[in-house]
Amino acid sequence: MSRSDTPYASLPDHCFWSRSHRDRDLMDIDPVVAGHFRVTQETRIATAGSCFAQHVARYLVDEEFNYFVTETAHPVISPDVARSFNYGTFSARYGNIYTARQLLQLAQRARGLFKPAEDVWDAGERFIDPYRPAIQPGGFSRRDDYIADRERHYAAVRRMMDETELFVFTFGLTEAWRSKVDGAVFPLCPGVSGGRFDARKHEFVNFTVQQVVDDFRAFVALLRQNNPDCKVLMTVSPVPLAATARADRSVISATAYSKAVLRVACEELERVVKDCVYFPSYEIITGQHARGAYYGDDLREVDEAGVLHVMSLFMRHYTDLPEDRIKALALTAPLRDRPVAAGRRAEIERAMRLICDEELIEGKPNT
Amino acid sequence: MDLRVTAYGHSHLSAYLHAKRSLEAAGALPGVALSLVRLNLPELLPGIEYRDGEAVLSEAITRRIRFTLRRDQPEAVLSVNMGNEYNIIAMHAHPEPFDFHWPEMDLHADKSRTVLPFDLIKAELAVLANRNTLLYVRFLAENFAGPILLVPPPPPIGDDDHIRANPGVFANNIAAYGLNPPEVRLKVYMLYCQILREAATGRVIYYDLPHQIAEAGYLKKGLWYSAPTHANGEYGEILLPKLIDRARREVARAAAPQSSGATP
Repeated sequence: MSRSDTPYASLPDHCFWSRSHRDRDLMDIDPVVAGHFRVTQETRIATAGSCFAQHVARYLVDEEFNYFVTETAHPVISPDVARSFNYGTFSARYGNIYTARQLLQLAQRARGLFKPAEDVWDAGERFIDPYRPAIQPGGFSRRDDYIADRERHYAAVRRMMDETELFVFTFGLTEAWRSKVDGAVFPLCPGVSGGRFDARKHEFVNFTVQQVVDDFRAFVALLRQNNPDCKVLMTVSPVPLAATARADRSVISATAYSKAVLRVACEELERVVKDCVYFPSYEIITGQHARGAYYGDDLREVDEAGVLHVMSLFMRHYTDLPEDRIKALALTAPLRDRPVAAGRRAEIERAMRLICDEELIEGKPNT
Repeated sequence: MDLRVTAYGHSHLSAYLHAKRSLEAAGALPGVALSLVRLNLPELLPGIEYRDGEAVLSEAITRRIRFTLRRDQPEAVLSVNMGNEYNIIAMHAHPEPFDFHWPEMDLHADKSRTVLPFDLIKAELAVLANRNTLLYVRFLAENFAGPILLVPPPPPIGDDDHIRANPGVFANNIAAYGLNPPEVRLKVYMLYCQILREAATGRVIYYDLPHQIAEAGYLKKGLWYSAPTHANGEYGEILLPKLIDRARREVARAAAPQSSGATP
């Protein structure tokens, strides 16, 4: 039997390893195959997830897509300070969400369905949110401010869930730490960035494929409770674990396990959840074709070229952005400042310097 | 031997320039060689430049400060630099009115306005202070080995009518958005001063303004200049002798032998 008689004969090039990458520039290698829906520049897009998800937000802003941010700093706050307090990093000020369980519990907390027993980490004169411990430098100086800010945050999460048209989530980890009391999952091990680790109260968990699938399905159900048409795009972060809590495993093996679980979970979720699709940014960065070229010197951080490759394929397959624009994607695209507030502020700042000068040079005290 | 004092400043220095003239004419500044150095002369502008996104003093400014330090050989320095930057936030109302709690000062927010987290507005003011007033203070501390009095700007003027009649640079924004309530202006000013106070360490000494220049925290009427944020020469006449007196004490303190704790 010749190869032309097999089911492979009619398959396109992307199905064959050799044809998928041979004689192609790295940036032309495209494992996406086809987009599942179209995103316009009016589509409200919300993001959440691990560190890698921040890149998605950055490119959406730069390419003038409708990056949906529901928790913004007040206009008197400058973009730099707002960024340092993690406004605009994601659609709401939740910081990195590494696991599906953390995402689900965020939605449950925002909807008033879950109130963790571990409510705040009191660090002397500072108050840390256990579920977003790095959200602002040094934490909150007052408990009242913390509580008020958390309520604003929950409202912003609810609005994001209710109004976004596309929710992009980047799965980061399967390993997590949780409360033994009520299962509340922390983004970071207590003690790493606030709080104090207590083996009587905290335990390690390494989520399985089924748990990831169940948690994410439960989240999507909550998301679509008031927003039934919301589409979901899933990615897996190509960033390796910084550390594993499993003493019997190398972090290299633990990373392989964790990413494999997440990748399989995405495959399963795509199968069982309507309008919930996987985008292969993980493969674009980690695939053999890249020969590790997209990683920085620490072999962990993804460099800008890698992010550009991912985002250009997203733009090509999911948007109507012209090809020349896709190719011209800026390599470094800082989050765009709010033009009105920033402009007015700069104008006042400039003018105030001028008036100070004018008054001293020309003015006479009125005594 | 006269005490040698050099004061550096921008628009708020004008009150001291006037005071120096009138006090010296009246023989009311004995025992001091006071030099007031204006850093907002046309040839020195802009005094602050941005390099790679970082605010730095211009070469013209740093040359001017170094030259005058060499020329005057001061024993103490007064920093009256900048000090209006907090008004970027404080002066005019915003389309989304804001306020903030400051429980330690027993200052509470008007809850009908957006209540900003204290840490957030403090961080914002700290950025403004760091790239304006404190930029000068740090440079002075790096280039002058004696005591430096960090003199805060005068308190805000609490009278809306005066500001509306003399809106200066804020005219357009006040016309468009109105004025922030005086309580918010004062609270932002106080927080800004708190930031300056926290930044004053070692030889840099935050100078607490005397109570007599204020009424309920606001700049006392009669000390207002015909501008939205500046004090007049009378204000300078009140402060200047006190500043020189404080400088004299700080110079003496710095010169006093430090006790080693050892028994002779």
